[in-house]
Amino acid sequence: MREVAIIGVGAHPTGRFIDKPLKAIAYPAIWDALDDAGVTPADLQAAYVGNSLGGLLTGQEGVRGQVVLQHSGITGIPIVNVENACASAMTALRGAWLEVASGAADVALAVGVEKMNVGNSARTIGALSAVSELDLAEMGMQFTTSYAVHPKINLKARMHEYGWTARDFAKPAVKNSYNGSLNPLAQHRRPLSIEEVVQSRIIVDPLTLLMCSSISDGAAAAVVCSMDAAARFTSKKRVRIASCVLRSGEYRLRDDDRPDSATTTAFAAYEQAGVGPDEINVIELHDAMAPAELMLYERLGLCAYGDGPKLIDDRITTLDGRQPVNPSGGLCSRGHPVGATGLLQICELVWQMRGEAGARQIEPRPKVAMAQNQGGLLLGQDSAVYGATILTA
Amino acid sequence: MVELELGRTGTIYSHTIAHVAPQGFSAPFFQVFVDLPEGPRVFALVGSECPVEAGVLEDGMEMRLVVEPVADTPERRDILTYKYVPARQMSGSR
Repeated sequence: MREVAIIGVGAHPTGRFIDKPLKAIAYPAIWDALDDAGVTPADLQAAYVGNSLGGLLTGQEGVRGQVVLQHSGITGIPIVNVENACASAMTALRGAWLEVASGAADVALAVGVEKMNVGNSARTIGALSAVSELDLAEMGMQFTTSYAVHPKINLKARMHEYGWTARDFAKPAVKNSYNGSLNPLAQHRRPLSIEEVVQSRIIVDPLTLLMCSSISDGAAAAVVCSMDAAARFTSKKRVRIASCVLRSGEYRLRDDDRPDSATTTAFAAYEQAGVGPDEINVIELHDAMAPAELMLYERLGLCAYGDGPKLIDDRITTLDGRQPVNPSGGLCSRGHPVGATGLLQICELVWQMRGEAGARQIEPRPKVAMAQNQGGLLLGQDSAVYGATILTA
Repeated sequence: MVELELGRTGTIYSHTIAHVAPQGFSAPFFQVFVDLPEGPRVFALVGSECPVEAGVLEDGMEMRLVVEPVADTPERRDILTYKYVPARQMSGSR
């Protein structure tokens, strides 16, 4: 396998763009990434386009990648459509990485784009439910509910077991809202207080509105290139893909307490990159619901089980901490356009590693970064898809 | 793989009230996981005879199977599914 670098990234702001079709949301992200990398469409040899809900919500069931890229002036090359729920963009990045790592291409593009605002939130929630196993979706299972009752991520059980409170659940939302307030691309840019988060209306007990990521439109793109060829296009700092691990949820019976797939995915990424959890300088992780961040601290090996809230109380994972988490604002503040999220995470990490993150820049500049992403819902696991990418500079 | 015949009872593993509903459902509604004595833990909805209020269900509560439409909405009225209700007659309701 060849060494692969990310040489350009771009993103469309995240938010509500009701009048913009999918291709118009993708276009600015794609062109910003190409400009950033110093490449033209003629330099690209393959592209992977991640999108999850476009079939149900826009009606464009097939060839969404070809439609989106044609309108960005990219045609002819192999274009692969990627649907992997909320991990679609991360999966697209992995496809582009494999093209270059294998030697099949020197330069490849990864795109993630999602349009969730269609003027009918029940329809959007219905489409989101359909990235769960259909038997669950048809019974009204929702992602929000899964965090309340699913055996693997049952927040109420955490309250009993660890003594976690609603205030603890609010802490990641408060931390990330501050980070998001410094991010011009973020959907929600108002810093929140613990009281405000706890007292916002209940969506699914014990989750309140401000603990949930919201319906969101957005896009992100990355240009990946063999390390050898990178100097032909750009003099900017190259960010190396040290590992890019994709796994699927492993079925677990009721009393099976082997490590879950979020854990095994992260540790596979650590091993391939040759680093441990302590050596990661910055992390973007999948806080689809704010308290999920606390559970992911445990599963990524950042703290012992039950100690999640302490990482925020002790200012370890805050922007000024030893190991900042979700400097972009994360899914709750930056936004969660589901099929774009994995690459929005990558954009943030690349900007942080290059020193281009503006008011939310982490100092000293991170040298080792991780993106953790997951998606879909299966009965035996909390997610169908898990991804972890480690970048080094 | 083994085929297993399931009975009509179970106990609540976890439960919540969802205040937002996807198309074809009406909020608020209960969502639960039920542990069956035969081994499986199943996701389930709760029968309409059970009022959707905090405190009505508790983890560990004995439940019994009922069969009724998925939801009382035009989209789901004609689809039958399994649901659970508290095994003991509810006092004071209905």
